[in-house]
Formats: sequence, structure tokens, C-alpha cells
Amino acid sequence: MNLRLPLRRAFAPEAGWLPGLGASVLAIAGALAVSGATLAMAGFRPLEVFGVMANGALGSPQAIGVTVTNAIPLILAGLGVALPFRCGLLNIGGEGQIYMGALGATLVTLAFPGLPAAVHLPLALLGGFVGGGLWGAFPGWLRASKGLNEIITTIMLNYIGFWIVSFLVHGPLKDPDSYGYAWTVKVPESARLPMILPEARIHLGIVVALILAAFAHFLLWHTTLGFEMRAVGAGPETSRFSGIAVRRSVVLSLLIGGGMAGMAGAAIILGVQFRLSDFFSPGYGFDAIAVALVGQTTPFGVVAAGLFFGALSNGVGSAHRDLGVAQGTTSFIQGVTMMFIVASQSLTLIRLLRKRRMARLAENAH
Amino acid sequence: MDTLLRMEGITKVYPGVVANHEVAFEVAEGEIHALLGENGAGKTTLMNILFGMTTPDAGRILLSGEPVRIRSPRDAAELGIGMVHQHFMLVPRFTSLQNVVLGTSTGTGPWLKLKAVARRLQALAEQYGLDIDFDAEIQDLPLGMQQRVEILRALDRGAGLLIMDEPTAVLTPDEVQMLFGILRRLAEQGHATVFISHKLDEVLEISDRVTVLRDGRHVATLKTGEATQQQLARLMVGRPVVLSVEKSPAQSLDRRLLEVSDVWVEREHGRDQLRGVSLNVHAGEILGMAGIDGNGQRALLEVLCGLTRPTRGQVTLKGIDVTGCTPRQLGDLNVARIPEDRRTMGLLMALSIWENLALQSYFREPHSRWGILHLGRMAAFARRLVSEFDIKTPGVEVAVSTLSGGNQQKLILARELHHDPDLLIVANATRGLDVGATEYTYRRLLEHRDRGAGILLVSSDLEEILSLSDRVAVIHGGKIMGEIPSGEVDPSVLGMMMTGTPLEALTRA
Repeated sequence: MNLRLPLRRAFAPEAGWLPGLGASVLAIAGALAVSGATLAMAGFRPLEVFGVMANGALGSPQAIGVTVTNAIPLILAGLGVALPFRCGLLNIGGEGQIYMGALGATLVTLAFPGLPAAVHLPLALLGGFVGGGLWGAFPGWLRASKGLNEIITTIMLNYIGFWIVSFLVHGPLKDPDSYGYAWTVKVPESARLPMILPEARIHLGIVVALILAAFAHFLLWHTTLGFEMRAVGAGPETSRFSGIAVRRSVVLSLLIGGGMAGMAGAAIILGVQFRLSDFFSPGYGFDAIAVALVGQTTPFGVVAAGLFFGALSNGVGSAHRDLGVAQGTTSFIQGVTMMFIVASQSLTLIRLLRKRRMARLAENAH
Repeated sequence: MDTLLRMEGITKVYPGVVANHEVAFEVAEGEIHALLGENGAGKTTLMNILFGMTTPDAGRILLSGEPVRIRSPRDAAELGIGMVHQHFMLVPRFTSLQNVVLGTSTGTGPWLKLKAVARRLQALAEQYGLDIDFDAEIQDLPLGMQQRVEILRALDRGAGLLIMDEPTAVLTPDEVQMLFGILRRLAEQGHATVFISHKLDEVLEISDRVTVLRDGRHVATLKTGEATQQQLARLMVGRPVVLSVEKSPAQSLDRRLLEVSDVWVEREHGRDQLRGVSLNVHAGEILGMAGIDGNGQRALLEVLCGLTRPTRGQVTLKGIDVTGCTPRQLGDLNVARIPEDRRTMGLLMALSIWENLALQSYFREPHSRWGILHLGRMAAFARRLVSEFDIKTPGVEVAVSTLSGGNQQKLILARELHHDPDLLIVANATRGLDVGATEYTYRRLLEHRDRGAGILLVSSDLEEILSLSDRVAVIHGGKIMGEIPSGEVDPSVLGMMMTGTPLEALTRA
């Protein structure tokens, strides 16, 4: 737990979210400045690159559409990291949960062909939630009953989840007419996420993501279950003494978190790719960690961070095509942003400690 | 004796607060000098300045007559100043030896040559009478020995002046005596010690001189031999305190509230067990449970809080069998508890005041319904308790970690006492609190006793037990050694019982 305390302080501020938000915004600005300098060293003109990036990410309805489409799995999987984080757990298993969620959704679509869309789509999304949820609840249960560190188990389950899907799409679920591609048959129309803004090619998944973010916010700050999760995150021993079912909170937060990551997988299959393969996620589950942390592990912060990183990778894509900027710039900016947040947070932490000591002195002076 | 250290006119101002105002402080060679004052009196600031953790705004420091500037703990170490912090700075998974060596050079290049170092350190430890198991990992050692490792580490770095910050706060009475022995031996060999404390009896016992700080100012420096406990207390708080709590005789209602009969808790690792504990608490009385830490108190508390199911035996509350009840069920029977460690067992430090105040009620109406919190009512509830219990805070939204220790304690008292519990389980509740906050806690506890609540007071602080309890039971090795009405307590008998002699054996002899 020693490592987690500073992490919690940096990424899960409880009282006073405004300084946290400021820290994130400043960190992003700092990261852009650093990457600008790096680009300049690599022989690019930073302002030109940023201009191309902004235009590529937000310059047209189509550009915005790609940004939002990128953001949907980032937001959903980011919620899957943020929720357990509030309960004191680090979910590194987003990628596995995405794969198992996609599998769950695919199985539902294939198992019940011919259902009306009003039933089929929600059922398929539920399949995604269940698949990811089970993949999150299992390490949660291991943590709660056997004391196994969830960081390790969720990382390892990434591989298991991926290879289960890989096995299935190469074998039993393989589309017989796929000409050698390892993927399933297409998802029936009735289970697809419909376009809500066709000219920008934005599908219903963004609404699902926003609803789930609102749900996560409500859960964490307006329900007894969420209160318990945050209590367990802030002090497991205190929670145990006050009668909170600590184990239940642990399992539940990873179940719901995993379920949300699973929905990310479902949204990719049902909204973009329409068939399950073993290469549909370029590591959303890992990017989700950055999204959740930069979003200060608050659901609405996750939405904002997800949109930002969605725009970032879209914009970097444009700059790559037009100017030859390396694709890795996305991860670079992500990483530097996180480093800035940790650094700024250690400064606020020092200030906080100082303020606390002064408050105590002030009180005793009277 | 020559003056080793002299601090003159030390002033440190934080925005809005004068932490130190022209403080003068002086330590002679080979002296044990106590620095006394309530929390926030400026002791820690002064010592942080001396140890280079912060710099003063004005004033100067002279070591052996030479003016020095201390900008960092490294500077301090080079000048022969060592500090043993209240919370030890040791690596739990390293052995004692590795911890002492950590951060120093053994003078052998990149190789550690631990065996040679071990021989040298063993000799050093023997010289000062420091009993240390060098090969054991820190996490397996009792706190007293961990502290000796800290002392040895400071000595190994050549400390001629040792700052001990609240060194007895975590020690058992035996360990305190052992520490005092070590400090005397250090003094004999010319080392000076600054002994920071707010425990008057310890200051009187160990120190040669005592300096009292109050509100950041130097109040007095006295020879300990010429000071009395009352005088020091008065200097500390600026008003006379009644150290022994005024207490009316118990109006025991002769109604058995809590009955523990033959309770056993067996654990795999063999520590912290209960081996047939029986006791009862009546309405309107305080039963004090004395004993050295680690003799089954924790197991007893866990049983009474519903966290551990006894392997054998029965607990009844108001005639109802509550063995194996959950904490919630016990709460429903109007049991409250004040834990020993505020930070890890009583509070959620990162969460707000209102959330902490609602910790025992958020799941009930009116604070929630169908699992949905009613935030408005919870905030109103918190504001009511904050004003009722006089918790000093800018608002109920701020994190509990920003409150002072005394106000954190008030918060716990507010949460646990506002609904007038029938049974109160109190464990070392005043540990680390200053005189004012301790007095406040005692007053509240007695109020509730007089109202008719039964109180089980588990404490390793004998003074606390003796000043509050109506009856005193002593626990040792998971067994009750006997029970004495508090009026007839003979401290030496209590001491025998605490070290494992049953009362029967004593009365027979």
C-alpha cells in the first residue's frame, strides 16, 4: 500500500477538485510545450505541427467524428480504471476486460440473430458489460478472499483474455468465408450502434459513454455503495471497523469497472468494426490508465481527458500523414502530461502539509 | 558544564502565524534537556530549525560557541546533531544492521563488508547498552527495539547531540524505563539529549533541565529538581489544570450491560490471543482494562466490535447473545467505540468532515434511502455536530487531514457520542493528544458515564486508567489477572499483575 498513497494523493483528490483540475490543465500545457520543443529539435516547426494537429482533430465534422470515435473506448475504459481507483485498487487489466467485453457482446449478437434492435442492442451491450465485469470481478475476488495483489492479477489476465479471444477467432468462431482473416462473421444490423450524427460518423456509443460516466458519478457520490467504495479507498481499516463490507466493495468496484471497460470493447465491435478479431484494440486498456489519472479519477474528468486524448491521437495522425511526425508523439505527450501531474501534485502536497501545520499552530495560538 | 548548543532569538513566521518568537534555547554537554509544551507550542518548529529541516527568519545558532548555519539534515548530521523522529524512519524489510548502514559509506568502495561493520556496531551498541537484534528484520521487532536502532544509527553518524521527538509515545512502561537507562548512559558519556515531550512525569523523571514553550515563546527554563508537576503544567498551558480529573463516585446502576464469559480467541501466529476472558460492565460505570500492549487487548476489542468471532465463549449485551454479531448489528444495539489509532482506525483522512461524521449513519434513514444518499441532510447533520462539539474548521467540506489532532479527536467523539450510546468501548483514546484535548476527552467520557452509559476503557496508560476507572481489571497473556475497585489500587500490585501474577496469588501471599 505504500506506493499507493502518493498515487492516491496525485490522482484521486477528495476534498477540493478544483486544484486537481488546474493541475491537469497545467500539466497538459506543460506537456505540449515540452513536446513542442522536442519537435523543434527534430526539425519540425512546432506551431505548424500543432496547427495541423488542431485542424486534424477538430477542423471538420469528419475530424471531430474521428476524435469522438477515438474517445469512446478511452472514456469507457478510463471509467473502468477510475472507479476501482477510488476504492484503492489499480486496475491494469483494462485491455483484457476490453477483449472479454467484446467477446461477450459478440457472443450475444451471434446467439440471438433476428431479435429487434430495441432488444438486441441493449442485450449485446449487456453482454459486453458481463464479459468485462467477470474479467474484473475475478481479480477482485482474488484480492478480497486470497489477498492477491490486483495489479499483478489484472496484468496477467490481460494476456489470458487476449489469447482466449485469439483462439476463438482463429478457431471455433472464425468466419468460414474470411479468406484467411482471423475474425468472426459480421454482427447483424440489429445489434449495431446506430449513427447519431451521420455526417460526422459519430455513433450512439458516445451517448452510452456519457450515460455511464454520469452513472459512475452518481454511484460514487450519491449512493451508499459508492460511499463505501470511497471509504475503503481512503481507509480500509477504518472502514472495516465501522462495519463496511470491505470485500464486497473491492469485488463490486472491480466488477463495475471491468464491466465499463468491457463496454468499451463492445462499443468498438458494435459501433466501428462490426466483427470480433484479435487486433481490434490498439491498447485502449493501457491508454485508459492515463485517461483516468489525468482525469483525476473523477467520471467527468475522465470524459474530458478521454476527449482530449482522442483528439490528440487523431491530430497526431494528421500530422503524421501531412508532415511525417512520428506516431509515437501521442504516447509521448500522454507520458509527459502524467509526469507533470505527479510533479505538480508533489508541490501542492508540500503546500498542503505546510498549510495544515500552520492551521494547527494558529489554532493553538489562541 | 560547558554549553554545547545555544539558540538565540529564533523567530520563524508562517503567513499569519508566529511559530517561534525570539526563542532562546540552550543545551549543556552531557545534559538531558526536556523541551516541554502543548501541541503547536513551537517545539517541533524549533527542532526542525535545529535539524536543518527549515530555516529561521531571524536568530542564530551557536555550537560550542561557533555560529553555524544549518541548511539541511545533512548539515546537521555533519555538525553532530542526530534526530530520532516520532515515526521511525526505518525500512521495514531490512534488518537492523542494514538500516544502520543505509545511507552511509562503509569505506569499502562499492562493497558493503557488512560483517566488519556489524562487529563495530555491536561494540558501539554494547558501549551504550543498546540491546539490538542486528539480524532481525525491522518489521518483526518491537517498537522499543526499533527506536534503539534509530538511536544507534544517530550515534554511528557521530551525534553528540540527540533530539528525541516524543520518544515514549509508542513505548510500553518497561520500554520507557529501558530508554531512560540508555539516555542516562549517553549522558554519562558526554552526549547531550533534547527530550521533546508533553508528559510531565517523564520529564520530571529523566531530565536535568526543562525548557517550556507556549504559543511559540520561551516561557521558562528550570532545573528539573526544583520544578513540580503542577508548576510545569501551569507554565505549559498558562492556566492551572486539574491533572487528576474530578470525578464523582460512580452511580453504578447494578444493571449488567456487557457480559463476556470465558471468551477464547486462538490465532495461528500465536500472538494477541485470548485465553478465557470473563468480565462484565455495568451501566453507569467505567471498567478500566490495564495491561501492557500486545497482551490480547486488540483481540478483545475485535471481539467486542464484531470483527473477530471468538473460538469459544459468549458475549451478551443487555441480555442478548451478541457473540458473532457484525459491527452494524452491534451499532444497532447502541454500542459506540473510540479507537486507539485515529488516523488508521477511526477516520478516513482524505475524505471530508461530513463524510467522516456520517460513517456510522450513512446507511440509515434519514441519511440515505434505498441506497441513495441524502447529501443535504448529511451536511446539515455534520454542521450541527461541528457546532455542538466545537470542532474548529472552516467548513464541513474540508478533508479531515487538514484538522489538528485535537479536532480530529473531537470529530470521532462527536460521531460516536452524539446519539448517547449505552455501551462505549474506548481504546487508548488519548494517545498523542495534548493536555487540553485529553482533558476534553475525559470530561466527555465521564459525562456519559454519569448519564448511565457503561464504558470499557482499554488503555496502556496507567494514569488514565486510574483517574477514570471505577474498577480496574488487568489483562496479561490473554487472561484477566484480577479486578480491583479503583479506590483500593496499589500501583505495585497492579505492576505485578501487569507482568503476569494473578491477583489471587498476590492476596494469598
